[in-house]
Amino acid sequence: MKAIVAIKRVVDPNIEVRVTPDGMGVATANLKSTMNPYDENALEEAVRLKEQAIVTEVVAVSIGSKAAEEMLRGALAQGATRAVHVESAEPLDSLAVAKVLAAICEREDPALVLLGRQAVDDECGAVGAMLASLLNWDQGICASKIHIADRIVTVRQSADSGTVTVEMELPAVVTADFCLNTPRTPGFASIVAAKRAKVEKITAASLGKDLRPRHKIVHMEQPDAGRGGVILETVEGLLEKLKMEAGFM
Amino acid sequence: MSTDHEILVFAEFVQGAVADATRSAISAAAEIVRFGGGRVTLLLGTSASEAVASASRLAGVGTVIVPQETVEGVGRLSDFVSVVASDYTHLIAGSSSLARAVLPRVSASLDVMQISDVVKILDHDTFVRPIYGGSILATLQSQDSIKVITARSLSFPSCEDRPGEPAKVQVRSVPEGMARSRVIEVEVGEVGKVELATARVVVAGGAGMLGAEGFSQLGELARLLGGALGATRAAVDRGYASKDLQIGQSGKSVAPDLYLAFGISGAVQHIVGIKDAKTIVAINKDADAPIFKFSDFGMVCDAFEVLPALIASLKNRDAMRKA
Repeated sequence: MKAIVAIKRVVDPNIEVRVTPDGMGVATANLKSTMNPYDENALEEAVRLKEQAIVTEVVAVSIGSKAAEEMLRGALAQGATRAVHVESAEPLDSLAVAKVLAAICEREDPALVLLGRQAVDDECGAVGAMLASLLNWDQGICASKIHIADRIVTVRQSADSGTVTVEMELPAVVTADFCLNTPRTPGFASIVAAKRAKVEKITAASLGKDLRPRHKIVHMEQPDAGRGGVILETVEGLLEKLKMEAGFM
Repeated sequence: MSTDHEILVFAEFVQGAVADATRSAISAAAEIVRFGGGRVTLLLGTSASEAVASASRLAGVGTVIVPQETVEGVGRLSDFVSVVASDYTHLIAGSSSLARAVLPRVSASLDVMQISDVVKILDHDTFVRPIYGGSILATLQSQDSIKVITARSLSFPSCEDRPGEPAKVQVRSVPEGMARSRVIEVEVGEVGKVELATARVVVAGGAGMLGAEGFSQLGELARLLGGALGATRAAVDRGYASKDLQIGQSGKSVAPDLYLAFGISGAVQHIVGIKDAKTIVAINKDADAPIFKFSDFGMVCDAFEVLPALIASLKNRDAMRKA
């Protein structure tokens, strides 16, 4: 059984991003990038399924510029069996990404697609369910637990309050929440091996899909989160303040 | 004024009552009507009479569309919503776990790009949404023929019930299709446990809490305040608190009336998750900790010096109430 893991390269979430001087974009050039953290959870889960012999092949797929290749090598080091780089000079929106992934699924014929619940940069959280819709597959969204047996996948989904567990037949798309697992750190030997591994290439344009962006950026800004910052000297002062200003206690 | 907008709002219910997320989505729809006129129609996935009755009492809703029978399964529900929405200019839902599952499916089948987590509406096609964990607000214009939107509940007021006549109800047939995925278990969190995302009070700890013991004190304070316990990524990574308590960019966003931060330095990834709090109070022994800049008031001292006093004061309050 083949699994595809879709991964996105994002700016390291530990870095504070800024708006470009023209207020029309995010200044991401020269910032350290990393695998989208939720996608790391998705990849880890796929690798664990392979270790349990439930999945036989884990294909890591990423869409983007040349730099995505480096990240795919990281995915190979983490345990993916193959890597496919879909080259696209322009960033694609969720709908276009879902269309590209659907085209890849038609070629690869996986039983399972795993990806993060959302990317930490544009935070649309839409690709997984869009992909499931385009493929007419079932889906599990925000998985905190995945179990597969006899081609039935059971997914515990994080919900607004508590959890909702669903089961469905494969093939399916499942998106990973951050509490699904703790991703491993690859060892030195696997990093070295991944450096020599082949990353398959394909261009997004060659898939023949309508990938044009649907949104036009009008403006970007950084909200000011700064506040008063009054410093209190005593615990009594703090209690008093909580009583008076916040209406608590 | 441009042509009238036909706005469809996808409705959700919690035990028969209209969900808060839906009430906010209706207010968001009303804002679009303000930009160029139009009508608001509510779409239900359930045919339960209690839900239909509460839906038809909402202010600003002209028509309520009800399926012939309750639509089971996310796939089939999405198909139903897609068929109805194809006659509208806008489809709006509150940001909820169901919307997260249904609306992207609808977007893809209508071949439009979803606009997630809208916090502000500037025109019928122009919306503001947070990106990068809320550290940037992006204003974008949608060029799609149907705008599929999820609206952040906390950013729009809750629509009221209406006096007088209820809205008219229209019954629609549900297209054939298989309800494939089955819900096998629903866990509604711990009884009496306050959910982080909707808590009025959040007591949170960072790496400065030094361990799980520190967090059990914070938990007691949270309980006494009727609030929820939260943690920073630094505290979760150190194993002081479980992952589902994590607040910030890779965790949950909170918007309580009162946010109490203990031993939290104030990394930007944490700040983006708490900036919608009404009052932020920081207690940290490092006077240079960035958290103080983002707080309404604070105290430079060890969390363990303040916690016992706060807990004692609240216990004393409870004892006096009982007496």
